Amino acid sequence: MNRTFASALAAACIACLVVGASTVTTTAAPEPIKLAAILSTSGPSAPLGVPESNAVKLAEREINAHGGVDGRPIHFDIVDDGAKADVAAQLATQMIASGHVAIFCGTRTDTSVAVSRVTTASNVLQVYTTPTESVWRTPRGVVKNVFEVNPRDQLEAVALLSFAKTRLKVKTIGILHDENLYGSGGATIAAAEAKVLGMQVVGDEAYPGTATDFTPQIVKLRDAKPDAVVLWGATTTPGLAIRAARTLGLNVPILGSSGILSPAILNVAGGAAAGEVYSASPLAGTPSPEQRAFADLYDKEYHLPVVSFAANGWDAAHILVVALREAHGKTDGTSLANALEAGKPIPLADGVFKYSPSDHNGLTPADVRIAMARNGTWGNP
Amino acid sequence: MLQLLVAGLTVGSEYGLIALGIHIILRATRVVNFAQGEFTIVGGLVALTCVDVLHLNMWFALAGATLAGFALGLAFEIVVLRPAGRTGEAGVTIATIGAVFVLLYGHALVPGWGSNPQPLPGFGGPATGSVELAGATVQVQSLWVFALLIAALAVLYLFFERTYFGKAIRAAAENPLGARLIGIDVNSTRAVSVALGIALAAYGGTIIGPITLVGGAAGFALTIKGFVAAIVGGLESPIGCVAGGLVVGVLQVFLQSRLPYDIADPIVYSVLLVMLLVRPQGLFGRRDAVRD
Amino acid sequence: MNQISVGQAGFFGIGAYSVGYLTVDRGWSFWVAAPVGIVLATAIGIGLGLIALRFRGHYLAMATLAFGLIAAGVFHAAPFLGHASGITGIAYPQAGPLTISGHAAYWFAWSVAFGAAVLSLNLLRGRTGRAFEAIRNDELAAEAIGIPTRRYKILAFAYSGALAAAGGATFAAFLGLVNPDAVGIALSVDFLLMVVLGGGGLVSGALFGAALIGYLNVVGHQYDNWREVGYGAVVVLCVTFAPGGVLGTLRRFAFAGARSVRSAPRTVVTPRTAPAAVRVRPAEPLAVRGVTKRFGGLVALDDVSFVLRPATLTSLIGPNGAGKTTLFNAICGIGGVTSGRIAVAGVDVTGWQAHRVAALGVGRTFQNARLFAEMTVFENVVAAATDNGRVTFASDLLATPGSRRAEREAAERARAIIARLRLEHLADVFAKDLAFGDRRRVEVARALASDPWLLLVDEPAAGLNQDERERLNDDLLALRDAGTTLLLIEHDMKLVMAISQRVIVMEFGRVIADGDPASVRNDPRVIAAYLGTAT
Repeated sequence: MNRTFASALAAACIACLVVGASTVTTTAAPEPIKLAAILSTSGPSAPLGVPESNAVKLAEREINAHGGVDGRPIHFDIVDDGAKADVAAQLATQMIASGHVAIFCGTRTDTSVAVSRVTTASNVLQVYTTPTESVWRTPRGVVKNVFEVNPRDQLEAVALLSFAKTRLKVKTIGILHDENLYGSGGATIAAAEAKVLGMQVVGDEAYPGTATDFTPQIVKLRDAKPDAVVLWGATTTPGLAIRAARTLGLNVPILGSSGILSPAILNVAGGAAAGEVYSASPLAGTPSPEQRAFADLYDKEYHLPVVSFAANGWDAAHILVVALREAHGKTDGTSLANALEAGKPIPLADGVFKYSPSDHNGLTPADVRIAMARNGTWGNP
Repeated sequence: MLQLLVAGLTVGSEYGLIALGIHIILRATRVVNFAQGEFTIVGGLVALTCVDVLHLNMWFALAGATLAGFALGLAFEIVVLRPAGRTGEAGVTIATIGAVFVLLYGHALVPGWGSNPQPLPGFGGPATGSVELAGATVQVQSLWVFALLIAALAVLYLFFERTYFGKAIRAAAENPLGARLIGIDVNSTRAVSVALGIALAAYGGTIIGPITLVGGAAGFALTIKGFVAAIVGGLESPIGCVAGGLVVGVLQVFLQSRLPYDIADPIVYSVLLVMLLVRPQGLFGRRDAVRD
Repeated sequence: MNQISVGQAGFFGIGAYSVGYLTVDRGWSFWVAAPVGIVLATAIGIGLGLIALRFRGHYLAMATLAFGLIAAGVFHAAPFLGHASGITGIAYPQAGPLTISGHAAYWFAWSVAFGAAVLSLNLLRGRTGRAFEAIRNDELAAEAIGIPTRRYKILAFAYSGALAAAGGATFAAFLGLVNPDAVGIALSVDFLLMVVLGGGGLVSGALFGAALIGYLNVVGHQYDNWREVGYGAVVVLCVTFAPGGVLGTLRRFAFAGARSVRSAPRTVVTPRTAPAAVRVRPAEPLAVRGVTKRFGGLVALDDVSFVLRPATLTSLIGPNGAGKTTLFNAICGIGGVTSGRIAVAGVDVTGWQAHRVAALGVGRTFQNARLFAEMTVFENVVAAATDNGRVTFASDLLATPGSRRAEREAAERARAIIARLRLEHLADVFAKDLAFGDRRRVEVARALASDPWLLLVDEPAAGLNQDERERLNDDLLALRDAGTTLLLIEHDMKLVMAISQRVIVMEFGRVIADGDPASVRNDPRVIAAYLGTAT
């Protein structure tokens, strides 16, 4: 009985932790410039947070090797929020109090939203890497100090569906998505864009991130007879979905979000047996010089192929540094945001970012290209 | 229909093995093991290491994972359950939740395992093979899962019914004091029971691995499905646990084929609550086994 | 009751989603939305409590787990709760012109937590806490001294639901968002972690645990997976080596043996209820009419009838399995009857719950002395001396003067009874540490503490030595002389014949003889059935 009570009390108390944080204020050391990356490197989002964290470490080294910000080195404190929004908010409070001038947070939409409240209140620049514009575009208008470093779901959806319509002559689509924030957000946008392009959505199925069996979803989609399936998900699980689709005779083209552009997914899906699979991603197609440079560095350091999360992390670190360079010594959120909103093109791994006061995403459909899987590897369609 | 049935029985086999492991541990120690699903995940990962690092085939990997599970189970009983057991039932249950944290976050730290789910090769061929059976496409690996499930059940049956040690375990579970009086070392029967339960988890994680990937954060979800299976079939009945797993697997797949996922899943959990209320002894349990 | 709830996050989610939905989608004020969430959670807590009454142990944990999962599923599936994205853009609460954010939010959240802690401490220190403790120790015995165990269990769920919802409401308002991930089953597990680390069973421990984990999550940010592995390892170690958690362990070292309730009188209060002797005595303390009880095919009681007169001592004898204890249980409201009526003090109590029968003035001891082992002798008696029939939740929560006075009176009555049975020297001893003979006498003291008309005593002399038997003998006779009606199950014929005014003999569930000791002793049926076989 007492335990039940105690549990409840713990619950009552966790609220304190949302806002409770050490408020020890230290004056910012003259150098290096302190930046914070609040990422989900443990817990359910670790498959996303770990590559981001890897890329930030790499970016820090590269930026400092090239003179930092006007001769001052930068230093990233990379911290783990464990995929908990309340922890992220506390970490942000603490980081700001200890003199970190800009924040990269984060891996998840909920942690990013929670932190945006803290950064906005303290007027500190924040970048985040989920493909959801709702963090900076709220019903109350554009949040001045928050910028997105990721092609929005919408850009990917438009690229994928336009490709499907013009090149594959697709008229009806089925949607299959992870039931998490990323998957459901993307699925909603894909459905809306399909209607805009005059396509019919004949099925919409979700699977949990821990799914081991896709039979019911695939059978339902198969029976709906779509011309193509849009697949919105990340980590390796979508590979199982593709495998199940092919096993169960759903042989139409599969159009995936940038989250599926990884060799591991094709491997799980059965290599060549994966059939006709596309993905819309800035990393698709012939790499730009910036992408090639990053991919080489990443491979040299970690012996891993670049996945979209790594590219996002790399870009996020660079965007913060660009803002600091362009703001010429000022570090408050407004000055840094103004510097980014000035709209100077920033070529990075995800494309050429060109922010404006009304667009804190900065990418255009041209930054998203289509990749096609053939014989177990990704290539040009 | 047949298609869905096969899919349901495949996932149900895994739930059933988890439920059975929970049952074996519960019978011997009166502990509900919340870490059963995590041991399933770790078992699959051990098999992955056997394949990737030691370059063994899946049969040796299965043996390796099962043995590793047995050893882990012994350690789990001696290091965690036995000392915690002195402080009462609620305490041990909480200790198993502590073990969830250690296994869930700990496995991500092991080189080669990480936090991303990874594929295992198939038994007797590639993981992706399928055959046509009566108009349904059936994954070859599903057939292996059924065969290996039946093999495991047969071995367990023979062990508990035909061997001295198996009988001793059952006697010690029924009546620890009486068992002690006739010279059974209850401590060691408990340790072996837990080890068997965990070995079963590792075995289950490996046989389903080619179908589901191994690793990742799915362990607790598996534990919960194992609980649902055990309650539906009967927490106190070994056959009930396995049957409950199959029933829950089939139910889940059929529900998902009719309803959106986010409605189907809570219905499965509602079944847990309804079963607890209406028939707490489970479909296959005896009425007098309920009070605990 | 020492049971684990694995569904606490469900209540937390109800509070959080109420604030999210009502403030963002409906435009309500936080100050209205939060209470609505708390009331909703309380109501659902009562519902879950009603369901949970049917389970204990593993099954209860499973039921709460199912609740948490279903709640998480509903949060995810309900179309107006934003599915996976949840609800964002929740504003900080306004207090007049002041927006509660930043430092104000910090203090607000802590005052919510401390407010909850103070209320909980009031509750757990008073009658309610003692009732919980009694139920945790021995549910049946708690019922037998008049504690409405079902009501208290439901209360526990309702109250903890309300607390969790308050936490959830605060969480949503200050974080600005709520989504299914934030209130999923993982959160319930985190709550357990906090409670175990801080100190299960301690209000301060729960607060401390939550603060500790919250602090470590922030301070230990660079250790990602290692941090969580560490939590797990510490939980395992805690359970084994420091079951009291961090605070419980510190407290054990700091105040060895300290208990919140001591037997030494603080203030002397004259008991307001008069002793049983001067109360109006019912003409028929107990009437059993045609009572039959079947267990499946077995007839345990077969048409048993008798009426007891006030202030008499009657013994119930018969061979093992004659149905004596079953009859006691039937009278006390444990197990019910198949047919027939039972009346206590002229009130028909057939089918009543045990605590209501007890509240009417029926005390009882058990064959194998069911004391509350983890409580002291004094606490055992106070638990019964409390007026358990009244609902005192609200006044206990606020520690009103009325509630405190009732506490003092109960303590006073308990002291008087302990003195009457000459048990003062044992008052602060834990029941589990008592000698066997003392256990019986403490049980009698506990049964007397509620001022019963009728005392049912089940084999009080079993296992006592000659000295202890004589003392028991004296105690029972003194009670009778003070006006209590006693019904005694006893195998010691010498004792039975010495003190009883009337003896009822049972065999195979039937009454085979009923009369004064001398006539029963000479009844040929009794000799054949019972005394004959006894030699």
